[in-house]
Amino acid sequence: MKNSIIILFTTIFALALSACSKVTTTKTYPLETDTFISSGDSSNHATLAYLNISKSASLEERAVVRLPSKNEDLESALEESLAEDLIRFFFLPLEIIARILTCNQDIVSAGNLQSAFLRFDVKENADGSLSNKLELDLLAKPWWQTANWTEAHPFSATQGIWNAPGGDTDPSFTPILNSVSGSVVSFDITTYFRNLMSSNGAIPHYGFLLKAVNATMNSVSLHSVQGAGTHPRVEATFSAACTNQGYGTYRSVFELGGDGQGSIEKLE
Amino acid sequence: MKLLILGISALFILIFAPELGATENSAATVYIQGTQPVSDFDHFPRSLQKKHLHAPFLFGVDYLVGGGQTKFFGDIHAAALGYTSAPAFGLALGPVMKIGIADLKIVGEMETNGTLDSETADSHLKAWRFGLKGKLSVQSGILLPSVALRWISMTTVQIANMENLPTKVAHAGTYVFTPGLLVRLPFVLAEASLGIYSFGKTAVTSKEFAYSIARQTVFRPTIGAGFDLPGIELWLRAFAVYPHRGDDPIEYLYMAPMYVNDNMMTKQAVTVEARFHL
Repeated sequence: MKNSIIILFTTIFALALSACSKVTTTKTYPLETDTFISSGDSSNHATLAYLNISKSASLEERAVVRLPSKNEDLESALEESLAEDLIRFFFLPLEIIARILTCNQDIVSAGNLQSAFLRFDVKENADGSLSNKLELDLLAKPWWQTANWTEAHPFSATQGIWNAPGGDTDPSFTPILNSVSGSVVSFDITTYFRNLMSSNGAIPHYGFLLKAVNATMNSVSLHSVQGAGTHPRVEATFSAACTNQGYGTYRSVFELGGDGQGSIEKLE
Repeated sequence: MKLLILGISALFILIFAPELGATENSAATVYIQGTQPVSDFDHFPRSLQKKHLHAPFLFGVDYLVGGGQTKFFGDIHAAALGYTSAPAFGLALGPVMKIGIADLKIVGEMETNGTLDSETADSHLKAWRFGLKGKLSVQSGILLPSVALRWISMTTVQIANMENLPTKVAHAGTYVFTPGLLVRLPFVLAEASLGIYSFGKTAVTSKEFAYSIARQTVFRPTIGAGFDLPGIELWLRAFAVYPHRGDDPIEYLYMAPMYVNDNMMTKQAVTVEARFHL
């Protein structure tokens, strides 16, 4: 462990002296809450390992997910790790260090966003090819984990009910169709994500609704936040040219034995 | 449990009363109170049933000690509910100052809602309350008007932890203004009061969810009649609760988890009280 630390900081020092060029990095934002709602079942699905989407004449299932807010948990883990607990550090692969340490400006900003994809791993699929079969809509009111077909949350008799059973969506948002690569279903949310970042919190984000595009669709299960596979996530790529160079302090903190997902954070 | 209540009450009296029983300078009253709901709200917060909102059986002792211009008031009470594994408690302590024909009582208050059973353990009912109350009341004559002002603060409580995202309920301060009138005739008592509650904004939040309930005013009229017999007062009271936003009882009930003393979670109810003067 001690040797690894020495090697890491030696590498950082060497890279800090190297020349600077255009920097590109991909940041992963794991989702933290999701569930699915069913026209035939009002029970709580939030803690299940999957999200069901299907549609038939008698039954429809839709998924609701939300982009994460400020990642306070990771911040806490970061602070604890910096204090004393070195065992919590996971050393970044050197090629990633090479990308981020040659530029000390923060490139994770709306202006530098090249792309953002909301991705889900397919757990089970009874409907064949999934390309363009799923639709992503923007939700228009807050929902809690107990959301069901008729109720968004249980904290109000008047405001907690969906105006339209199955979820209230924003009519000004153009639905996004999915693409498929292997067992991963993706939605291109670049424009929305850029607007969300630019708003700096001024635009409320209530989440997304995933539903079948066609009149019928056999059941499709996606890995949920609690799933054993790769979790729902946003993968955002940022790119920018350095305006100066030098030593920047970036670290990524992962819990050893955790789910392997984390975040690159600039410390100073 | 009754022994525990009696024990705590006795301890309270021993601490605060130099002499048991009524003397020139002290007066103790033991009271018991039972409430029967007449009508309930038609929607309830998550995980609660109608029975959880009903006022409990109450046993308490209040005490006034001291002489001259300033006395000291104390009250302790315990509330027993069938679905709590430990009783709820309340405590009020403070000075009483004589101002002409009126008394000004200033007390600090504390109320718990007891240890709730597994059904309600993750509900907002577990919030404790702390408060300050000032009451000015005329003490001589047949018509005895009074006016009281209270400030109440409720503790923040966690109500769920799904997906490792704790959800909490928090309240801004609540204010209560209560004008009242007591009629004291030989053997016969009557009273009327109007509690005007301004319940503080209530927030339900987790890292990924936020819902706030705007401050609202609630009226709670009470009327009562009783008998003043040697050594005992018997009271029959009726009250009703009128939230300003009456179409959303769930929001209201999240704002007002008060079922000890204030009994704010039943729409209409009747209370019977016996007060024994020691």
